Amino acid sequence: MHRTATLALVFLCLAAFLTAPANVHAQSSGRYALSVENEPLPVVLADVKEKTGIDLIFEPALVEGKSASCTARNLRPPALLRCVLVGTGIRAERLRSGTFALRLDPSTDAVQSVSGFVRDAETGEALPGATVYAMDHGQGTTTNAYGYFRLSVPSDTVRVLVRFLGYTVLERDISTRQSDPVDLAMQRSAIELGGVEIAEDRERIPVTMTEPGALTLPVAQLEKTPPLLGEPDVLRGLQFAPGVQTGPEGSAGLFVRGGSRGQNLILLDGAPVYNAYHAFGFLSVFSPHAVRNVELRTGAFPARYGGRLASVVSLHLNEGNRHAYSGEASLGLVSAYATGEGPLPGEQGSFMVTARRSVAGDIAHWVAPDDVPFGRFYDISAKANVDLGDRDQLYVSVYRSRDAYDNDTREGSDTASGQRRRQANTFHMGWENTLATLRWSRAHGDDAFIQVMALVSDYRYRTRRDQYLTENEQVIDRTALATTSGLTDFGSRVDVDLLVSPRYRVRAGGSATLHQYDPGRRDLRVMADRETVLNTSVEPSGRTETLEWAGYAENQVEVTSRLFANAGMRISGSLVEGSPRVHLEPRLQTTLQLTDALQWTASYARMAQYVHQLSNSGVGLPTDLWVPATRDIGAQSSHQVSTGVSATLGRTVARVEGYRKWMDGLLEYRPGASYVSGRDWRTLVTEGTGHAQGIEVSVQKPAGRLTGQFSYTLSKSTRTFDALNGGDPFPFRYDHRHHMAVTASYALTKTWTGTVAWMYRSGSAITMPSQRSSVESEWFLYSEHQLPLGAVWEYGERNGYRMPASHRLDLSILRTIPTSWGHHEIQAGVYNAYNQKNPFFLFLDTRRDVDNPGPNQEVEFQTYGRVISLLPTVPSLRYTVSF
Amino acid sequence: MTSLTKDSRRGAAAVASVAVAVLFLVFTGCGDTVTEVSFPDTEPRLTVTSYFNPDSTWRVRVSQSSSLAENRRGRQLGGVEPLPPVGNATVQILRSGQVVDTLRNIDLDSPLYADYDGTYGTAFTPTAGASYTLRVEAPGFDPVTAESAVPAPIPVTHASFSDSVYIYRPDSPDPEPVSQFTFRFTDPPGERNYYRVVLYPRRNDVTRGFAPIDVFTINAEIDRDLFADPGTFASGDWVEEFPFRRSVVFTDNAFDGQEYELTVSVLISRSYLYGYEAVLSTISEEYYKYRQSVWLQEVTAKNPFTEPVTIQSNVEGGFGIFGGARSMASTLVVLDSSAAW
Repeated sequence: MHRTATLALVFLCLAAFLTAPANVHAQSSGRYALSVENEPLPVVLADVKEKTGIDLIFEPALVEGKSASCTARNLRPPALLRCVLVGTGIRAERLRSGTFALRLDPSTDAVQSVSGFVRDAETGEALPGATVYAMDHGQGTTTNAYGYFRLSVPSDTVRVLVRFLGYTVLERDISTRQSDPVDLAMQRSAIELGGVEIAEDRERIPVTMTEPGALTLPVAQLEKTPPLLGEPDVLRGLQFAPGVQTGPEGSAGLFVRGGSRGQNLILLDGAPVYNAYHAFGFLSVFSPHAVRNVELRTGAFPARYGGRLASVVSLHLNEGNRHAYSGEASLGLVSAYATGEGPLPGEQGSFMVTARRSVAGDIAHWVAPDDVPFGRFYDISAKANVDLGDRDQLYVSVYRSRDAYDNDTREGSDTASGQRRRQANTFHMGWENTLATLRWSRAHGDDAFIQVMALVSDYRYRTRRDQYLTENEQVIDRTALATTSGLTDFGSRVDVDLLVSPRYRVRAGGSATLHQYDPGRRDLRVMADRETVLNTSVEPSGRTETLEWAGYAENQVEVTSRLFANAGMRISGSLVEGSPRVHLEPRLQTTLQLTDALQWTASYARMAQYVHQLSNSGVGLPTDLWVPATRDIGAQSSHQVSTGVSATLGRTVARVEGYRKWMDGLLEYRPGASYVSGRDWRTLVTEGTGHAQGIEVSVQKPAGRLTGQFSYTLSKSTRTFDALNGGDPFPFRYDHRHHMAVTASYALTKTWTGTVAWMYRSGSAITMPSQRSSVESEWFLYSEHQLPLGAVWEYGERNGYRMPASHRLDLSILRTIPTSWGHHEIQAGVYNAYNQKNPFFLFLDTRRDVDNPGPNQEVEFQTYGRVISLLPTVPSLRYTVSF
Repeated sequence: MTSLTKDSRRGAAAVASVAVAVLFLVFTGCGDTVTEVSFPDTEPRLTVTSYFNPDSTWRVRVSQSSSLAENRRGRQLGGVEPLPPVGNATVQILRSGQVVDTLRNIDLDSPLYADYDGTYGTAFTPTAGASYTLRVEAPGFDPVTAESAVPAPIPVTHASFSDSVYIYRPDSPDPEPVSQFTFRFTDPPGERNYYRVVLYPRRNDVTRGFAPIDVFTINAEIDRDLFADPGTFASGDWVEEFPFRRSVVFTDNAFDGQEYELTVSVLISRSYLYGYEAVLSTISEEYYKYRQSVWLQEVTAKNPFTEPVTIQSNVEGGFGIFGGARSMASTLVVLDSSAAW
């Protein structure tokens, strides 16, 4: 219908050109006279175009229904055009080619504001990251974290086109005269509901509306990624995004643009998560059924984002169904979960609760209780939101996760005297996250949006080793060593988003967070002969408190109809041990619409990070330690520049982007150092710099029966530390030169969907020796018969050895069975389908051809590397019921 | 209904295909998850070791390193894997660019060491405070050079020994008797100084010896703050054996420019020696870095979560150490004067 109307308008315009009245008269050379009164604007423009010979382009809808009045003499064409357009709310811009382009003049008094919330039609939940496009006016925006948007248009009504991945495109007329925000309800797309009707985009929305460097994905989309062991994983899904590299095989860790894992800020409803991994890094702690969408930023950081150098991963919990109670339960090979949601009384809000618990450990422990270490985890997410009138909303989010792993051995015997003796050796390791946020948001008038937030985030890691001997249940001897470390945040944040004019938007705000670092405490208790002989606590680093703060202002300016800019400044600082640290962080993002389908972006970002993560493994083990920038150990900071080109080809979006990043203030463990050394972490680290550069290529097809993505990254990341590698630059451990990922999902039928994913990456850089050499003691100074003490490994360049490349193919198929009250889902899949032995880690070993040689017998030694692969072909199965 | 049935059939066929593929892969594909990788071959280099001080004549050990890609074959002496000594090297000591002496190969007159001929020596002794260059050439190897100096003297104001000290070890409820050495000295301010404590067993009252087999074990406690570099050997810990065969190195990080009293407590479990001697020395920076890195690599070898330790060598073109030292004080303790060997 809309397409027909457009064609009709084009036809009318052409007809107008052909039948234009001769009101324009040529006077002296290049000057014209005009006299029209309330003539149809399309007709007048056609007349001007014909008589003056100027090249004039415009959207027919822009001039439709408008009239022109102008009486002028002796004017050149540009002035004549201005005269014609007076009072129409339209202005003419001369392009480099000399062509005049007509567009809406947002500075006219006719401009009206319209605001509202984009919501899921079925559940009423807000949809952050949806694009809202005023079709007739070329204006667009995206919804914020609350699903809120604002637009300024020069008319009483505006026709908006709303798009969000996984939902059918919504087209709706909105009156600008209504004062309250409107609700735009979007229907989930046909694929989501189990049909083959794929919603067509009736009008392509310019990519200029999306912020460069931001990738917003609904979890429903990420869930299509073939899961490991049937566990859909939010962070693992992001590993297919361009610029994101993976850690060791199977881990859900993210390494973004040459940055380390600790340089990713992972936020759950605004609260930082310090250990985002269950099961030693193989799963993220976010139950995907509790999360609405994920926003990933890797390069062009607006000033409102800060605190980390590499990326911001922002997850938003589901708000819950505002219209009806519903639930879902699921059982897989690794975990089971249940979720419930529904409206609050009076439909003045909604709630959601999701709980997930591992089942694999229980099954293994049940099958072989003595042979298998017992591991389990759980996570609980809950959220409620309440409407405080039409413009105010209150949100409460609570989250908790916990992992616990035990390995116990017990032996018992009866003594000759009839005493029952029992010897036990137990080991426990556990870690937990606890988060809570309280947020209030207000849509103030049509021009301002305010958010105030308070948060608490706590992370704890504990180990306990206990060896004891009991006699008739009484402890005789005991040695117990417990270690704890952690970090607690108390934070607050204020953000204001102000639409000054249709072409100018200001965002400003600030935050303050009190960090309490507990980098390690050890409690040792020794009992002998039933008496305690030692009971001591050692805290080599002590508790450190720091106050981190930041303030920012962003100016989003539409410089011309084709050039957009976001220039901002962030000032951040940390007060630690009475010593302040301050960083100025200028930010700039520009977007130039080269053609309707081609867009160029460029950005610069200066970032500061006042927290370090010390890691020996990179796997995501809980032993990774969070420590602050101190008086003596600086904050991390970086400069990053990036530029890229995006092209929209039908329903496919292709993008090429290059970046360079310079980092300083990076920390690494010194040689031989580790968390387990029990010393003050300050004595274990050394400071250095880093450099990363790369080119990212991505092709996305987000809609249609076949959806998918291809991404390839060519990158290089190095580190330079005075105390490491002789001061020479060396490769970053996760410097994967090539990284490629392909995912494709195809709707086989109304109820069957198949997904294929393939990933390749170059080998990780690790430090390996190249030679063995002898070591002598001083004693041969006094006795030439003194033999060598032994042999040592002679290492070459740090991280100079490349592990074998990794690649794998994952497959999954999803069967949805609709019922009258909900639906069933069965998902089957296979991870690493062709059983590629991808390296998890590599260690050296030496073997001899003779175990016990005689005094003069020759022995042959051989050194070899053993590559351990953890994940062969792994099938998966999961059943889910929704009601 | 018909459509749904048709869809189901098509989907079921797809699932069946995947299921067959999965089962095939599960039962045929999954195998050993450990694979071996080879390493690039690298040319062997000369490894030279020379600790020199004005109290002793020059000794230089020369051997060849071995590429990881190459199998090492030879006799295993003292449980150490064979890294062949180099007996045909030209070993020279230079001072200010002039050759001071050319060391001769010391022929070991013993069948046990018949093929262990990589020790070079001379009667020449280093001069206190002088800088020396070591140059070693051998057929088939790139020549290597290294520089070091004997450090400036640091006087010791007090040295004593006591064998009537009792201390508590962390894992023992009862106090244990130990022998305790005490050295007091003033560290030169404004510069980094490096120290070493060695416990030598004594053959007799004049000769420092070595233990051909594990004759005795020395346990010791040393002030933890001495160790600026990290490691499992933390302060106040009771060390089951002096790291790196009964000697430790440390810096003045904890007492730069101050008078410092170093106490070493020693527990000897077997004492049929003539005696033993504790020697405190000041050593060159390169000596310290080499020894510290060797020790760190040794003590962290079995910890998969430590960063690899690169051996800090000052030998250009090869491996090993050429490091100067200077004795500050020594204390001899005679255990059994009739036990000379």
